[in-house]
Amino acid sequence: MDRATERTLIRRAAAGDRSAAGECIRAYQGPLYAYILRLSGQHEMAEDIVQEAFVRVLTNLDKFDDRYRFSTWLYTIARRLYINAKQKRKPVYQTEIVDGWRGDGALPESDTIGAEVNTNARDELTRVLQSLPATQREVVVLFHQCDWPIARIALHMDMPQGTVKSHLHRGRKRLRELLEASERATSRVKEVWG
Amino acid sequence: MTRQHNDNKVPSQRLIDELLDGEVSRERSQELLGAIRRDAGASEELARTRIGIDRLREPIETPDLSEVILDRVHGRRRFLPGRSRRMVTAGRLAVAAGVVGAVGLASFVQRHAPQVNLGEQPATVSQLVEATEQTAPDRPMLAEQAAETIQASIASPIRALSLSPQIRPDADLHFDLSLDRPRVVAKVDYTMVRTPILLGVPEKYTYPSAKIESPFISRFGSLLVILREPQPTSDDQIISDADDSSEGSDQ
Repeated sequence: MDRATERTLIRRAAAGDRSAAGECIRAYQGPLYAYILRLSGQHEMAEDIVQEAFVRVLTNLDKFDDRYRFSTWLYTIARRLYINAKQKRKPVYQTEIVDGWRGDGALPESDTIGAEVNTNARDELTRVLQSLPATQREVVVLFHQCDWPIARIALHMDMPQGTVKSHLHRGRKRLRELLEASERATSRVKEVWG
Repeated sequence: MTRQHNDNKVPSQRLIDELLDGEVSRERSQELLGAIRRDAGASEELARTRIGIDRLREPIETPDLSEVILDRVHGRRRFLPGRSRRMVTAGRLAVAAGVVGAVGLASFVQRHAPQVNLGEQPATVSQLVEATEQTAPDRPMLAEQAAETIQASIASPIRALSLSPQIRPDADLHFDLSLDRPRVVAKVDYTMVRTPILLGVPEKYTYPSAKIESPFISRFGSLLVILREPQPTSDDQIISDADDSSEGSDQ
């Protein structure tokens, strides 16, 4: 969404236009949800935080300074909410495969196997990301998933650009190593179990 | 060439980071790719890193939370239907236009309203007082001369100052100085009314200077200056006070 469109939508939403507020939500809920999900590893937490962040932002639109980007404001509030939530509860990984497996011995259909492989891969990434230190994880997600430039990440996380880069380099390397280790483990399991 | 040569000695991780950070020019990017390709280990590292990054970029299924959020927001600050929003907007515009209009009008009046500048010449009042001390046949002539002097000291837009002897029921003689404009904006520095002579104005008459408190005062009606003939017993003292005052204001 370009800035002119964003400003118009926000002005309309601030004047009480429900459809404009809805457009704002639909434009940003996906990336924001993905960001919080990658940080927390929990869908439920991501959903709660996205909701709360939007509610806070939309009820305070009259305080919004349109010299700044709406998304920056939204992400800052969501990040604060996440930090507060994290302090209250420890992260628990949601592994649908483990949760859903009943071990009844029936072979799944091929479509189900494909879906399970995809879910497994996503789940593995979530687990690997949770193994990264929090700052490295956030920098990697903002840079490679949200496509934020280093300068914007530095502002968002309130740290020098050089520090952001070093977190990014370490996080990226660690992510690769962890994914490799995970793949090796999977291959070994396949070898053992055929 | 020198850079490429040096790149061969740089650890592969640093080359990969420089490339993936995306802060290099296209030429530098090509150089880095060339250096990485020449190193089998670096190529594999880059490929594996890219796999991880690509997995990060895979789209994530997101539930549509818009209606839930909108309902929660609506509970805190009401959304308005289109017609109400237009009315609110029109109301706000009307208020804004009113404020702008009022400020503009005030500015216009301030710029264009006439200002009285009677000049700082208390001496003319002294002359007027002196005129009242003369014998009856000379009073009209001397008073007229004093009025002309005062009139000459008054700046535009006041065009005329009429002087007419008036008999008040509770005083001997008054001279009413009337300006010719119905509405006058008077300045604070209206020194004429500050002379001690005017302290003799009977209490029942409004002391003119009491109304002149702001640089921007609209007076509805003519500006009336009332001078009373001094009492015979205190003539000397009053004249003396007037002279002192004129000296003081000159300073």
